[in-house]
Amino acid sequence: MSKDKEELVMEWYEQYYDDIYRFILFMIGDKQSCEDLVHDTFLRAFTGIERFENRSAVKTWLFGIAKYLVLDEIRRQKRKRLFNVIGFSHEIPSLIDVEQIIENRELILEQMQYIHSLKPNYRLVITLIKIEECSTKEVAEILGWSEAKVRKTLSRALQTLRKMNEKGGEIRGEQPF
Amino acid sequence: MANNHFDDQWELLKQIGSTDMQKDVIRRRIRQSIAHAPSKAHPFKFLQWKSIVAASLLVVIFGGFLFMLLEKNPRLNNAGYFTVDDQSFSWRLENVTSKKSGEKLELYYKNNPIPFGTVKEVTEAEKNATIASKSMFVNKELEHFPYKTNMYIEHVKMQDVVIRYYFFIPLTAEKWIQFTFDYPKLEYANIFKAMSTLELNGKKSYHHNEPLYVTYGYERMIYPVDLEPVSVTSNNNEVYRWEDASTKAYHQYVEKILQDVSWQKKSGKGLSTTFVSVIFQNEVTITLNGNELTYEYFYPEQDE
Repeated sequence: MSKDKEELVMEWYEQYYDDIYRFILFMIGDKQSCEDLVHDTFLRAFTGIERFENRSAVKTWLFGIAKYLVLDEIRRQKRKRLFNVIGFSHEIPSLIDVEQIIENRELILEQMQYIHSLKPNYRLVITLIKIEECSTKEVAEILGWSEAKVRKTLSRALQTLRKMNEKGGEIRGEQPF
Repeated sequence: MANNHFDDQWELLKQIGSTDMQKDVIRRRIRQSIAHAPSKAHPFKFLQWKSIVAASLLVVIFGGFLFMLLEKNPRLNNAGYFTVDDQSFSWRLENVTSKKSGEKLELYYKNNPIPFGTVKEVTEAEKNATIASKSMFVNKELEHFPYKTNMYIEHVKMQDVVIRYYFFIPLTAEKWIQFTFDYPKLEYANIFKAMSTLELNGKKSYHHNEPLYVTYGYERMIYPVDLEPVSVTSNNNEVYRWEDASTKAYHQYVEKILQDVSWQKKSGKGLSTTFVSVIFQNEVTITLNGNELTYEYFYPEQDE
């Protein structure tokens, strides 16, 4: 039974790894943390598989788990940043590796930086809708919001991002964490 | 910026992904973690299965006794001393048993078969090697504890161990006793209860005559050191039994919190006070009722 569960989760891994990886990378912006959270997402899926019950699509359910983990990580990094200020942390954050995309590398890094400067809720909707191409309904399900709230938040997020592009990143939606 | 150009950028961003090698590494890690993941019971209807549950409980109880007998009678450490390479210690944290495992002693809580921590004697070089080889996020000397204690927190971030505490206490110029505790296998309050009431055999301890406070994990909020968890849930609500609770102790605690400039008092009535973090804007209400101390954390909605 446990073996069946494992194989099912690993099938999901093969199928949705890229989506979950990209979503977490855009949310966290740190490669090492991203890998940890992808691992944690699928492990949580394995341990919580009884709660899945096919009530939603697998992809939506996995995004829901990943969302919970990234928001938790953002909160943790917020605290860690405080320790950085007072000198307790020894961690050196890892960098995003986009070496495989040589062309437009600077542009991509710039856009990722802008997105990462947005507040978490803006980042969530932008990543899920514009990068992961989820529908408003799916995002509403993942985030536990109304569809109206998803649309409103997306509109504000895009507006902030446009202003950043116009002014070379001078306008920040919020602190990154 | 023109909309077309803006749309082109989304197409570029969708190209971002990981390498096959990264995917392989994570796949292996997941397989490994699944192999070590504790098996989980399936949902069942209690009435239908109560006889099975009762029978299982009996097996667990007798199995527990048998396990203890076979494992050379682990001893309750609150009652007396147990030895780590000729060193002995005790503390006031109850329901802890121990078992020798190679050079170290493994610690168990409330008959849980998974150890929550270890104790061992280390040299200065071993201590430094441990500190250098782990991702230590916090390095702090605990003031006014029974012994000079250096505390480190390793960010483990596994399914069953989020963080691991390391406490080092010097025994001689070259030797240290090292305690490790895994959170959440053991609650923060229990970890600090153990270390703040530690007695090393043959080594005089110091007893501070003022209240002691500690922070939990990476948190900024201070907690009295003599708390016992009653109900600590992940939904931002924590209830503890406070050993030295009194009106005076509560007000002293409130004053101590306000000495940290990152907390401001938002409101207060009687033995209930709400603080707001000037950095993160989250709020916490701390209420004393009898000897029960409750923390209610509130994180403001991040959306507008």
